[in-house]
Amino acid sequence: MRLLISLCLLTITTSSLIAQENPPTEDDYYPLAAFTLPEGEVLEIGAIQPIPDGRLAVGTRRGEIWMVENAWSTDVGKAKLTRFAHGMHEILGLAWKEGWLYVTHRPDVSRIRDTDKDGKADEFEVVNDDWGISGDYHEYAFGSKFDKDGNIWVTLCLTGSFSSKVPYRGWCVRVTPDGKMIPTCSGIRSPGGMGFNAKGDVFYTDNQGPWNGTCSLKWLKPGSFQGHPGGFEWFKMTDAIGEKPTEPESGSRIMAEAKKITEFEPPVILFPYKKMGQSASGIACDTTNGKFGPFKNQMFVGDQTYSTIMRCYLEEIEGHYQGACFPFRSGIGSGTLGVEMTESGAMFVGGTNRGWGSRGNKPFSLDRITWNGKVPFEILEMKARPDGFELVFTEEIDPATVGNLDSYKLQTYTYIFQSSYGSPEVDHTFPKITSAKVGADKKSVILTIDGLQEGHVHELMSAGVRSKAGLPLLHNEAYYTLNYIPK
Amino acid sequence: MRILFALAFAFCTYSLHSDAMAAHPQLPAFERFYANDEAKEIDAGLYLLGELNCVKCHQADKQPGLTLRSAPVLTDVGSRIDRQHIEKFIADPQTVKPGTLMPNLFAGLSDAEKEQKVTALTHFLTNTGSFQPTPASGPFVNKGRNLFHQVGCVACHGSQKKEAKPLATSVPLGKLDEKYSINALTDFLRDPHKHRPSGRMPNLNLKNEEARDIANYLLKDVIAPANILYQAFEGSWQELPDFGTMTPKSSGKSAGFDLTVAGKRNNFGIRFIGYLHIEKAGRYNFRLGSDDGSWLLIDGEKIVDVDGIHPHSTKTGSVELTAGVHEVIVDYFQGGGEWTLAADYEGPGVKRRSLAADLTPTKKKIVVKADGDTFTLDEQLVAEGRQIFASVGCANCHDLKIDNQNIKSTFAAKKLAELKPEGGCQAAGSMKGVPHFSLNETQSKVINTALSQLNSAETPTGEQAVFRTMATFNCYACHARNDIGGVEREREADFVGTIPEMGDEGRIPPALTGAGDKLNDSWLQHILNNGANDRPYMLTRMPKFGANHVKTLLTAFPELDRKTLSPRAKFDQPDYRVKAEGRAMVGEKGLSCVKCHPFGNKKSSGIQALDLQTMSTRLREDWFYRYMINPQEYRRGTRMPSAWPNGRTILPKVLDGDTNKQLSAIWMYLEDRDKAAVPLGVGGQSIVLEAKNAPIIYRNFITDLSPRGIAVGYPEEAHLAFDAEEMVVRSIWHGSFIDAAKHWVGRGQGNQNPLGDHLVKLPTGQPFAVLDSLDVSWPTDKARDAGYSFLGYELNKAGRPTFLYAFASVTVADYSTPVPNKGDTSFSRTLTVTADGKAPENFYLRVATGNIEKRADGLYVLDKILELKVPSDAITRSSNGKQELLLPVIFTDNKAELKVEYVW
Repeated sequence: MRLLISLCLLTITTSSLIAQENPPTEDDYYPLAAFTLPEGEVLEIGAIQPIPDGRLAVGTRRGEIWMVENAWSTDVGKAKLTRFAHGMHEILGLAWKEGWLYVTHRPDVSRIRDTDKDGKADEFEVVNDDWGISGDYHEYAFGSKFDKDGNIWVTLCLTGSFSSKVPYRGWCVRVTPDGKMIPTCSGIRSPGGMGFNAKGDVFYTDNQGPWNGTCSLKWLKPGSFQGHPGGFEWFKMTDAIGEKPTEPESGSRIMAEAKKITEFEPPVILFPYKKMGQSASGIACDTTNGKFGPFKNQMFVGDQTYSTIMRCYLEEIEGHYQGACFPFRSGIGSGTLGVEMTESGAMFVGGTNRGWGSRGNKPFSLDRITWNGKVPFEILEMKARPDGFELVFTEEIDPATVGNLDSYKLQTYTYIFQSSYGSPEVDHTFPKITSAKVGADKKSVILTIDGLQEGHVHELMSAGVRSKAGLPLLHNEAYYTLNYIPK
Repeated sequence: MRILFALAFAFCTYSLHSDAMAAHPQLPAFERFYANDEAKEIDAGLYLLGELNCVKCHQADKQPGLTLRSAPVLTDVGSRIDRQHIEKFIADPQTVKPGTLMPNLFAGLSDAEKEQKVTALTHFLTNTGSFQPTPASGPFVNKGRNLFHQVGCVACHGSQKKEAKPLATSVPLGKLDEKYSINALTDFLRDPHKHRPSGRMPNLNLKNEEARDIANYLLKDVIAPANILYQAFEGSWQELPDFGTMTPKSSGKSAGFDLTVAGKRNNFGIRFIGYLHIEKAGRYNFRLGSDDGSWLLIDGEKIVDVDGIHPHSTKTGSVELTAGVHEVIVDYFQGGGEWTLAADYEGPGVKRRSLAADLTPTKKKIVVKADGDTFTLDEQLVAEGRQIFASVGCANCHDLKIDNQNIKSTFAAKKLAELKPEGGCQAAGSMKGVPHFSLNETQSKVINTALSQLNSAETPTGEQAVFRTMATFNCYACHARNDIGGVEREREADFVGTIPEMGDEGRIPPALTGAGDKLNDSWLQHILNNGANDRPYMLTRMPKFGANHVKTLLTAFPELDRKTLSPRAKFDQPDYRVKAEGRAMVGEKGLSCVKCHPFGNKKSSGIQALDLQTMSTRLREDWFYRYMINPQEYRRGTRMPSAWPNGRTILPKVLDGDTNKQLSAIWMYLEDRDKAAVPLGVGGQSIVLEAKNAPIIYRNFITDLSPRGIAVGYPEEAHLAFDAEEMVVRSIWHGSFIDAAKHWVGRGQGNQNPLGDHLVKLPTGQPFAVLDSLDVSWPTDKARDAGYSFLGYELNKAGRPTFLYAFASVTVADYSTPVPNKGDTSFSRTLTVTADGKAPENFYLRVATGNIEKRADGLYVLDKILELKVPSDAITRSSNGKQELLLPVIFTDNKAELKVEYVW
């Protein structure tokens, strides 16, 4: 008997040793394949759209649209790219409807098609161009897919970081199926991407700068103010979303202002600067019903500087979205820009680092991320509770480590909400985790916490947590933006 | 007695020895050109009479070409120059600064008499300001050493490197570290003419920090008195800690804010404590600058705060101070990298001065000197000194203003014409009451020769006058002219450039042979007035001499050198086409001038020689033509090749292969300077878009269009740019289409010019309008404000776009197609207007605005460039001072078609 116990102990020790020596990597679950792009061409991909005929359209910053055949082929080497159109101006949105490719680029939303079927677009029809451009490179226009009413949502970057020289810079507008433009939200600074969640609500990413202490994912609730008053002037041109909100007070905190300014919708998720990334970009949602792995209905957000894809778990508290972000996949060839989830569960990622450096050292790239069927040990969900958080894991856990308070490290902080550029982390607190109660399903834990901080990012490191198989979390960092504490 | 004898003997020996070695006024031109040339004896003497300023005491009715040299201005000299130096220098100028032009005024006096006068003068001069030496700062010294040896100081003063030998043809610097403070020398280097109005020391156009660095280098050996208490700490901080609660690693006295007292380069902190003595109560301003953080406390109150990690940054603060002693604390810390700390202050009766220099280590007011010297000003001696300054001749040469009034001289000497060849100032020995110049034998001789020939001597003219000026101002140190002068072999290695592959051309200043032929009058004046930096690769700078000093050159160069031999060619083509040919020749597909010459801020692909945009600003057209054919004749050893060897072109197909026409075309193109279209092949990366088989559409920010520009490049090499904000074809051009690099490299800010030639601008603003009568002027509202909307475009089989837009009830399809001609491609444009409902009446298309002529053949010509073929019902009218060419839009079945042909 004693011998048996010793043997068991030995076995456990050995397996955990192995696990520690060779911890699995992202490649073991979500392999990344890089497309070879046509020799001599430059495809800085800002937007991606699958076409019903089985091709994949990609739009570039140089204003071209290329069609990728065999984009889903197991061997990316079989992909064939041909140019479908050129002459657009920084394409940052593509959508498909009834034979038309809808293109959001700097001057307008256009729709284009190939009427004579020679493989090249020949009709370029302006759908709407009711916004201004002043000639500043910063005035980008990011476009969404169609919402359930057939609208394309467009976020219009400010003229630079601070001001709005021409109409609707710093706004989100909707372009309706009949080509009308409806001003929808104010307060935009510098978008990096747009996307829907599984429910069909519209989100965009905004970037660190004035009134944005760090990059974030924001919910474009119609009528809302997103935080940067630079574009307030254009309230004089429209009554689509009512009166101009109160100017926020510089040097304050996001939630302090959200309480004063009713229109101000606080960022859903703050991506801590230099921890999660530096330039939040494209957005995709896993609506593949399991083809992309365990993260059903979760959102994925790119970071251009870090050449990564981050994962976001969102929940609704008091009528607002909020939630946590986790690292998901690194190693994008260039700086992540366009991100597209396709029905088959293949995620396509376009990259560029022109003008803004990236960890991915290629000047531009097209990558494809797929799930290989193996489930990584990850925090699937991080749910806020009135007195703590519940973590749900993708795999059965080891109750000893998950129930051990020493497996976790928690701190909170926020950012200064201010008119000058960015912010350091401020107002740090170190709340105490008082208990870690493992769920009966052995796939979750409830952390009771003394001192949750409303309005703070809760940075939880779960380095000690192990799966039943003895594996550490593939990513043990989680950052929950606790705008509202559930009651 | 024996001792006395021994002393006397020693003195004699010394004198003899000193006579043989003869420290004498040292003037580069004298040593280089006059001392050994007997033929120039008279001229040499006249030159010395000017340089030694003889006529300031010896009036001269006739001054045959003396170039007078005004002595340094001594106003406020006490604030610039160390008292001890003043004293020593006056007592024996030639020993303290061998080579000086300053005479010994008291040479013939007894020691006691001399000491009394020197002391009084010193008191007087010292009283004109207050002076404190400051120690040099290590990092600045190194930068200053490099600058001193690069920007041109060595051309006159010689290399100061250890291994360098002093040259007789150098201007001696003396012991600057005993003379100046860093602030005073920095100010002097920034504007030498202020205190040395003779212009012999030119202004090198140094930036503030450059002057500071050179001053630090030249004063690197200053021994400053330890006048401030310090406490040094070690540690790594982001912000200043509270040194008051910490135990210092070391403490002691420091000479000024000397950061080396901590004995470390990184991660240290210092608290400096000193006392400031304020005479007049009032508001004082303090300036504090540091890298990294520092703050300044006065009597415990924080006045300036430059805390934190940062490069050198400066802030100011002010405080009300009572008369009396105030405690000053400056706390400083250094993280890594460069380290600096500087503070100054100003207030009632105190002009901006170094704070460190005025602090004392105790509350007692003492003047601290490095060698323990103490000095108290004596009012009576000051008054006496002032009187001596006027009576012994100082005031004859030196301006010195007290209360804005120059001190007037009471000293008079014989007239120049009455001087005898022996004795006096230039005598070998010393005479009581006579200034002694320590001239050497040759100098004496030539002065005497000149004096004896004074009546017959002529003011030099022509080339001789040029020689005298260039010698006087030592232009020859850098420039040769007609094989005279130029960089001396011993100094040659100190002339350096940034592009070694340019050889001597890149480092040795150009010869001035033929300068008046080459440079135009205004540029010559500009260079002499302001200096020049047209050769950025050459580190030696052309300094500013001031045209009043060297005005002889302004007239003499053109008179002596200028030739008029090469007229501009006559052309049948209009100028814009000639310039396009010039541009093509300059570019990489022509003569490739741009391989070596940048164009404005656009770099050439090889070395960065002189900027092409400056050519027509600097050069004479006539000279340019001759130079281009034979560069070697005008600039020996140049690497500039000729494309017209023996006058024959290597481009026989361009402009009839006519050399004169080709050169004229290049010049006419260059005359447009920064307005000229950029030639092909400059500016680093280019992404030239070239339509090979089908048109290229390029939507971006294009010059002269709204940001909604759509440029179309056609394979036929005629291109257009449509403005989707104004709904007009705004620009048309020939040749190359566009360079996308501005927008496709980096973030893409800014407008891009068309890359090609023959650019014609067509009217912007609404293309169509209803005019109730032809007296109504064209509406000025922007097209979109007037209700126009852009609908997009369609591409036909050939890939050519038809632009579509709507206005009120009409829709317009605007299609242009290139039409090959026997010359350049032209455009045929068709505008199809369709009305929905009732067609508008009195509806017009505006085809062109500007200078419009109707030719006999029925064609209209815009601005003498563009021929417009329009239907016969076209109308020209004058509106708002400009001519307009309008086409009435006549609808048939709600449809109208308008055709315009553009030939240029």
